[in-house]
Amino acid sequence: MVSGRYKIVIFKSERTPRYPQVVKTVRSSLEKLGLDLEVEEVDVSKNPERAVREGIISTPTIDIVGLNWRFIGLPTEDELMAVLESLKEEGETRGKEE
Amino acid sequence: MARRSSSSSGFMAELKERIISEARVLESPGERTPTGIRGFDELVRGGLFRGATYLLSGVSGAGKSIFCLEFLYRGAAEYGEPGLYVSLEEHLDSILRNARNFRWDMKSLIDRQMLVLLDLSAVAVGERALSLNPDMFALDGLYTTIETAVKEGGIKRVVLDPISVLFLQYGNVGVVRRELNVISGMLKRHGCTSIFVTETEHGKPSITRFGVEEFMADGVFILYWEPEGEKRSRYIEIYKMRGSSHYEGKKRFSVTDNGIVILY
Ligand SMILES: Nc1ncnc2c1ncn2[C@@H]1O[C@H](COP(=O)(O)OP(=O)(O)OP(=O)(O)O)[C@@H](O)[C@H]1O
Ligand SMILES: [Mg+2]
Repeated sequence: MVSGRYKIVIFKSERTPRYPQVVKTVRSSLEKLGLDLEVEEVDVSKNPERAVREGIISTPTIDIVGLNWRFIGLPTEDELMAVLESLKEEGETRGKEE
Repeated sequence: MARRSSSSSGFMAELKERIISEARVLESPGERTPTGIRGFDELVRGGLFRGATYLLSGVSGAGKSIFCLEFLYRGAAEYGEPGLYVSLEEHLDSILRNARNFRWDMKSLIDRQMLVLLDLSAVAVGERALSLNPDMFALDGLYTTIETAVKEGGIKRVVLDPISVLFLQYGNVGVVRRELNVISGMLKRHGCTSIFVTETEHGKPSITRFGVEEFMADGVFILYWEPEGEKRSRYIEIYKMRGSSHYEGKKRFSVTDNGIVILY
């Protein structure tokens, strides 16, 4: 498990187009990779301070915290998995070391 | 007849608020706020309309950011109107370095929160690994950031510099236009007088590449260069000003250590 250092934050609002699809893509990518990561959903309209602090211009925005990687708009599962893959490798290496 | 259920009441309240604020605009047509930029307010017969959105268009280096900074500086220093500058491209330290060339005391205005500077340049341009799938999006991060600053700071003047970077980054011109229109409407409801900056390509003193001006802006101002012998001269033109007559034709201007001066 690689949580702790890493987590996923999805920024949304009521006006975010196709939001359920975004969540579904994130969840299924994690599942396919066997990654157990915390997923936080932040509504920028209700938490404007988060939008300001993290410089969110548009939604959906998916932040891979710890990787310094940001997806703007709805990624495909493949795109998301390609980035998350590196977490899996790291988790496995660390697992072996431990 | 039965009333609509409460689920629509939020929407109805919003609609009502909008209608009331639109009506207020109708009741007091033509309330102006001078920019304070020397010589400019005469060109537009007394200043900008309060609550309106203007487009400032021009090539790189034409003086757009200086114009906007001065609009906010004069607003705060001379008219008691707090201002918000949202930088979408140039880093704030670079903008502030430029401002130091002028005889303006920006620091005390910033300390007194009469001037709020927001740096969204890193985000817009992307100083992290970024994957962009900009088919479906809403600019509501930008919206909520601006609205929060406006509400909490009692902001009366807003600058977005430049909006062209949004068109370039998101590609989907239609959606960006719609979203900017939503932001412009929000600013109008809060009574903010706003300038959106767009950068145009060199050699073309045309308006914008994205057709923002036709539907959204209450006025369009263009800054450009023209060769004059060995040198170049700066020009400004009022391309459009809803609800007002204005000077027609180009005017020379210069950038002095006290800001922009419209000449002849
Ligand atoms: N103190 C000053 N005195 C005279 N001219 C100045 C001064 N400071 C800046 N300038 C002029 O203003 C220009 C920059 O203006 P500004 O940054 O407003 O341009 P801009 O239209 O915003 O350009 P861009 O699209 O690249 O952001 C400089 O290239 C310089 O010619
Ligand atoms: Mg500029």
